[in-house]
Order: sequence, then structure tokens, then C-alpha cells
Amino acid sequence: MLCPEENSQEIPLVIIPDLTKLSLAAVRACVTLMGADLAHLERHQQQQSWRPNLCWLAGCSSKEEEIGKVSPHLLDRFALRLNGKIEDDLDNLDNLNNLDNSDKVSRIVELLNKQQLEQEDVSFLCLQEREIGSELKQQLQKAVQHAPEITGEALARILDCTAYSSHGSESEVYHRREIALARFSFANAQLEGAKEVRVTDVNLAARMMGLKLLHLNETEAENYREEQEEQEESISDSEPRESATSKSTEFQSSNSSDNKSKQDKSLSKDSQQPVYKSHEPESSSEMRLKDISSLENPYPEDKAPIEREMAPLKLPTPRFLSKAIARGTIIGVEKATTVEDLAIVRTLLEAAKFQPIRKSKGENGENGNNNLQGGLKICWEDLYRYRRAPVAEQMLMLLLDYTCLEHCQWQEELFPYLSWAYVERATVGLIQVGVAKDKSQFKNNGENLTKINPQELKAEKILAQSILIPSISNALDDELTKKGRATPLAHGLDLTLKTLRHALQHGRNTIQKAVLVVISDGRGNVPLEASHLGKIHSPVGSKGVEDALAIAEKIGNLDNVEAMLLNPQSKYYPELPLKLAQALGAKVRSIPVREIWELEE
Amino acid sequence: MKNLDQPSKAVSEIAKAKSPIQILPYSLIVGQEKLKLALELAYIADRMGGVLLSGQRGTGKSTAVRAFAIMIWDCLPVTLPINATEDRVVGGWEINQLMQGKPQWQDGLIKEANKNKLLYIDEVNLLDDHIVNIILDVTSTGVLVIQRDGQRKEEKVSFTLVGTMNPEEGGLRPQLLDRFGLMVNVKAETHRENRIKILETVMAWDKALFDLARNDASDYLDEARAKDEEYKSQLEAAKEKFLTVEIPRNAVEWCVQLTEEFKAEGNRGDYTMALASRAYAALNNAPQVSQKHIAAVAELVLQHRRPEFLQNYQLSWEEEDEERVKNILQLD
Repeated sequence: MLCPEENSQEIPLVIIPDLTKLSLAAVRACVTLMGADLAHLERHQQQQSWRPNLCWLAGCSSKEEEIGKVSPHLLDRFALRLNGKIEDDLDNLDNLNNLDNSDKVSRIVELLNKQQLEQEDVSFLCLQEREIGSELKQQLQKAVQHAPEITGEALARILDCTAYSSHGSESEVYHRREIALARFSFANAQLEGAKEVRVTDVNLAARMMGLKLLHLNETEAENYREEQEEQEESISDSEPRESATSKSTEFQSSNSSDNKSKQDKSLSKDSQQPVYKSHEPESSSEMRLKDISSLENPYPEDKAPIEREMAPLKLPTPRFLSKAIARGTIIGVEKATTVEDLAIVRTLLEAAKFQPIRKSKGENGENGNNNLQGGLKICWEDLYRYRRAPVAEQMLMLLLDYTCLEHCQWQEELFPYLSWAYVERATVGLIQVGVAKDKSQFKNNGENLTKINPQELKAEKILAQSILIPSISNALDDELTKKGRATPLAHGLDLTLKTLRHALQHGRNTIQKAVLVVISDGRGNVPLEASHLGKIHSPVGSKGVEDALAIAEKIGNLDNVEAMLLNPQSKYYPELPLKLAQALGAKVRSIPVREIWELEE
Repeated sequence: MKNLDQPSKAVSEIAKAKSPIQILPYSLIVGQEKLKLALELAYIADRMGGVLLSGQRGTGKSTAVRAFAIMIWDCLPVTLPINATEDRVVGGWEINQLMQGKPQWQDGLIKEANKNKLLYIDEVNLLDDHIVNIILDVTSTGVLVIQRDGQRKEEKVSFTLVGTMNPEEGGLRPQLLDRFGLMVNVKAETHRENRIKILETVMAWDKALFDLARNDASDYLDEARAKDEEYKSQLEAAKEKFLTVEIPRNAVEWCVQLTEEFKAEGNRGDYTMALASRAYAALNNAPQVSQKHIAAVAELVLQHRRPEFLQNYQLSWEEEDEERVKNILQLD
């Protein structure tokens, strides 16, 4: 697909629906092909060099936790970012809780109707391939026929748009981003039929991408605001495009004057005609840019937490406990050492090379048989097997009750299990019980002391492919986590149970063994029902503990789970952790309390 | 000095006759002086052992290498892509011929590089381990040993290894790192003037390609190629002069002292330092190596040989390292 087609003038469009879900092989291919002057193929005696003339369109979540999973090396190749978000009222479903019942019903009906309409629209789009109109085609063809000059002021403006991140702090310089903005502005000016790429073109392109402009003096800032308002007005204008034509004619006439650069410099109001209004009176409505809304931050990866392993583009080392398991994604082929998981096509290709020679040898009787006519002779040396990405066969499941960690040296005790997870490349599940959700609570805000954040009534689950994923180390960091004011132990154990069941029993899972480590004093004070509802009704009594013990028993009945309870040795109800361990079928190990440990030091 | 405003017809013909894949001419690359210097030194002193360009993404590393190869050898460098298979690296049977029962050997990239003198590995840190092992073996022995597909061959090979990498994607094995005589930590240009110049160049280059596609000619490109030709002859002169540049004993002592002070691993650092400073002197048309020449190449030779670098491959060469070099060499 990515190799050149001879004599082809067409530029193929490659669409990647979701960058976060791209396989390793595809990511490596993208990194070497995208934006490259040259691509090389040197595989299996095939050799080719070509200019990868491809147009790439990729979708990617702009949420920090999602984008943190993608290699920045890959993201850097996509310097032009536009907002592809479709308004989704489902996001507002959470607000339903604040409505009374009749409002809730009407809101849900409204949402359902809207979804139905949208589905009909989508099915319509899927069935009918939309063709570009002839007017638009002409406009595009005309656009690529001329190359406007870019003014010095416009180039300077590009640096003001890209040198600083949108949150105001100085960031590193990324040349690809600057070049992308320059080329985007250039393309826009081409589309407008303008002779020059001017500051206004850069402003417009920057605004479409969501880039903020810095380093503007007061006059420039005022002009920029006016320009933005004018453009917003014209974007929301529902009049047909003909009305924009008269303005664009004015723009053309001012554009043809000799003082273009001076106008640029002063950013005078005359030069602030919206440049995105087409100069072509016959232009199609499809070319309107109103659908392009800007991103809040086009480069969220600059401050997103890292959710990927180190060196994500490197080929991982295969590591399997049981040879029968070969379920990782195929990332290539390699010479086979066993006859398992054979790459049939590669093997046949390898064998095919030698058939004439083998057959001629067979005919000459060198091999002592003449039965090779019509058949394919495959030798041991021909065998290739798939090279697969490693899959975790073991899992470390942690349940941490943050409300009991204060007085014990829990990290020391936990360390051997973390090391085991690293050595075994185990996948990691972490259930956080009783962790503070609201950061303002850390400041001991008086108002917050009286009310429990409903989110704290629930436990949190973090799943990671390995112990090296930063979200795990952050969750184990004393400085970054604070204890909350409720202990939803029953909910935490419920999440643990579901996660273990999924890992050990669901579909094509690869987990052979799970090690469950629980650090808790057993003093759960939130019943399971309260966690599900997000509301707690006092008195709670012992319901929280009873629920926790009931679920712990279910975990204890799971096969292939080795459970360990690390007892923080709380002064209150010292028998509760032991009861919990008994229900889990777990071994117990006491964590030295901080005072004793400090004395020993 | 030639009049560069009037490119010769011959140059223009060369530019057109070259591959349809157009690469930005070397003389148009803005900034990145260390990067360019390293490539030039490795060309002047071909026993340097290779250049590693490690740095931030989008800084023109690959473009610079390709542009340099086109300027010097009029062809693109032999390139080893990250997903290359062993048969293409060391050589193997030509499949189409073999399918017809005619075994015909096809040389691999290492052998091709032996002819062209440059083996370029883009994203060298992402190379498969067993391919790295092959490269290491060949670069350390200077002999390509083929034992595959029923063939046994041994051939002497010599080439300059040039690798580019982004340290965010992981480092290199110390053995491979040591094979690179020089290393450049490539950073984005931060000076406003240079950044504007980069944008100007990219837009002018786009325009030149546009003109070339429409009119089959570009004055901008012709002019740049002429400058490349001019600079190529300067480099060739420096290469010829290289062995005549005297390297006094005290200069050798400084080289050794520097590698000692920076605790450079192995002895390859001493030799590379001497070679690089001699090549630098040749490039500057100096009769003998001085402290200034050694100081100019110290960063390129030493930064990846420091023991701290093996712990943290994103460690950069700082101002204080530069000061340390000056102190050791007793430069003001």
C-alpha cells in the first residue's frame, strides 16, 4: 500500500482512525515514511527507494491520558492539528443527576431522538460516496497552479505562534510545527488566489489550529481582536457565499496595491478583510471553513503525563513462559526453531526460490527420488515463524488502602512484589481505595472538611501493561497521593474481583497467574451499595466491613491467584485485617509501623 | 572565488540529470554547524569511524546526511532502513533469477556501502538487535563474512557509518556507540534570525520544486548546486591535504590528556581525537594541529565516550564541559 505506483499522479490518502491504537509495526512504518524525502525497502531480496508521496490523515484523542500513550516521535510527524470533535451531548449525561425527574425524562428523550437522527445521517453518508463538485475541483486545480510569495512579516508571525505553548510558558522550538503553519498559511492563500501569504493568512491558520499569538504590542493585539471578531461574524453569517464575494473583491483590489507589505506591517483595518472568504464567486459551500473549530491546545503531548513505556518504537524482546502461547500481535517473521506458529506465506516464498534447483537435483537423482514434479518441496531451512509482540502471562494485582498507609513503611514491603512484576514483565492492576480526589482538600479547606467528595466513595482502577508505566509509579508516590476521607474497601475488592476474573477467565486472555497484594487494615466504612450510588446514608455500622469480607471470599475462590495481605498493624480493630486475609485465602505479612522502623534506624 | 551568481551550465545539467528525488542542497542547510562539521571531518579523514547524529526530532538530520552525500558523491547514500532483513544487509540470492533456476548472488547494503563509502542508518537506535550485531562485527573487523544460503564469502570492506537517532526512543548499545568516531547532539535552532531563515529556505525550496515541476528549471536550485560544487572542491582539497598536516607530539599529548580527564572509555577516543583535529586543521588550511583545532573537535569526540553518557544517553555537552576543555588545553 505504501510503495509507489509507477506513473501515478494521484496522491493516495492514508487514513489512521486512531493513532493511540496503531500497532508497533505500523508506528515504525509511519515514522520512517511520513514527511520523509525518501523511503527505502530492503527486505527479503526486494530493494526499492522512492519518494513517499502520501497524504496522511489521522485521528487522535486530545485527552492528555490518551495522547500520553503515543510516541512523541510519531506525533511530531503530525504537525498540523485540527479539531475533529463532534459535539456529543452524551458528555452531558452526568448533569442529569442535577435535574428533577420530569426534566430528566424529557432530556433523555431528546438525546435519544438526536442520536437516532445522527445514526440516519451517518448511514446515509456511508452508503453514498460523496463526490467533490466540479466547481470545487476547478477551484482546487486553480489553487495549485500558482505559488504566492510569503512576506517577511508573515514568517515572523509564524514564530510568535509556535514558539510558545498555549498555556503561556516557553516551550522548546519544533521546526516541523513552524513549517507546518507556514505551509498551511500558504495553502490557504493559494486557495484564496492571493498573490502573497500575509500576516492575516498566518493569523487565520493559527486560529484554525488553536495556536495562541504572543509577543503582540497593544495595537497589534487590538487589530488582531478586531480581525478575529470580523472573521467570527462572517463565519456565523448564514448568507450565501455571493455576499462574501464583494468583500473579497475589495480584498483583491487592496491586495493589488503597491503597499501590501506596509499594510501587513501596520495591520491596518483596511487589510483586515477576512482572507478566508473566497475570491471565486462560484466557489462551493463545501469550501467554507466554518466547520473547522480550533483546538484548545493543538500540542497536548507537551504537557501530557507519559503513559507509554520507554523507547516505545523499539522492537520488544519476546518472552514467553509457555511455548504454546503465541498470541501477541504479529510484528514480523523470523527463522523458525520449532514448527509452532509458522508463517506460512513467508515459508512458501522461501521454499519457492529453490524449487527449480531442488527439482533439477531430484530429476538427476541426487536426492534419490523423482517425485518432485508438481509438488513443492519444503526443507527445514525454509521454515519461518511469526515474530510477535510479547504478551504478559502474569499479573500483579495491587489493592492499596491509602487511609492506612500513614504510619507504616509500606513501600519497603511492597518493593519485592514490584521487582517481581518488572522481572516477569507482568501486567499491573492497581486498585486505589480511599485516595483523595479533590486536590483542594490537600490545603485543608474548611468547607471541604464537612462534605465528602462523592467520587471518594468509589475505588479507582489503574491498569498498565507493565510496572514501568508512569501512572503506576505516580500512584505509589507519597507526594502525589493523599488519603481521602472514606474507605470504600468493598468497592475496591469488587473491582479487584472483576479485574482478576477478566484477566484470568475472559476470552483470549493470556494471564496464567496473578499475584494479589492487599495493603489494608480491613476497616472499610463504605458499603458496596453506597459506592455504586455515590451517596452514603449514616449510620453505616459494620456493613462496609461485611460487604468487603463477602467479596474477599469470592476472590479467595478464584484459581491461579496467589494472595498476600500486608498488614499495616493498625491499633484499632487489629483482628480485621486477619479476617480479611482469611476470607481472601491470603498469607499475612506484617508491615513494621513507622515508629519502630525509625527506632531501628 | 568563483562568481556564484552565474551557475555553470554543467552544474545545472547535473542537477537535472540527478535522481527525480530532490533533496535540499547542502549549502542551503541553515545553522547546524556542528552537524555539518562532523560530516565533513568524517569525509576528510575517512578512518574516523563514523558519525552519530542524535537529537531532537525535526532538526534536519536526515536531510543533512542525504544532502552531503549528493554534494560529495552525486548520489544518495546507501541507506539501511530499520526494518531491513539480514539478506539485504549482507547479501543473498536474487529471488527472480533463483525462481528460474539461475542462482545469482546479489550484494547486500554493506558491500554497496563499500563502493559508495557511506552507510547511512536512519533511526539507528530502532534497528533490530541481530542487524546491529552484523554491523558491529563488520565495523570492528573490517571484514564482511557471509555464511548463509550455502555461501561462504569473506570480503574486506570499509565505509563511513552515519547514523541518526532520536534519544527519546532509546539509546544505543555501548559497543555500537563506540564505533561512531564522532557524535553530534543536534538541537533545534533557537535564534530567531535562524528560525526565520529556516522558514524562508523551506518556502523557497517548495517554490523551487514547484518551478522545477512546471518549467523544468529553477534558478534557485541551480545557484545552490553551484555553491555545493564550490564547497565540494574545498573539501576535496582538505582531504588531499589531510596527510600533510603535521600533528606535533604535544598535540598528541593534549589529545591523550583530554580523553584521560574526561574518563573516555577505551583507546579509540585518543586516536579519533587526533584524526578529527588533524582533519579540522586541514579544513582550515592550517599546516599543523594546534590547541584550537583540538578544542573545536573535543565535543564531537568526547561527549558520547563519557561514562556518564552511558548512564544517560540524553546527557548533553554543557558550557562547563567546554570550559573544562579550554582549561586542559590552556586556552583563554
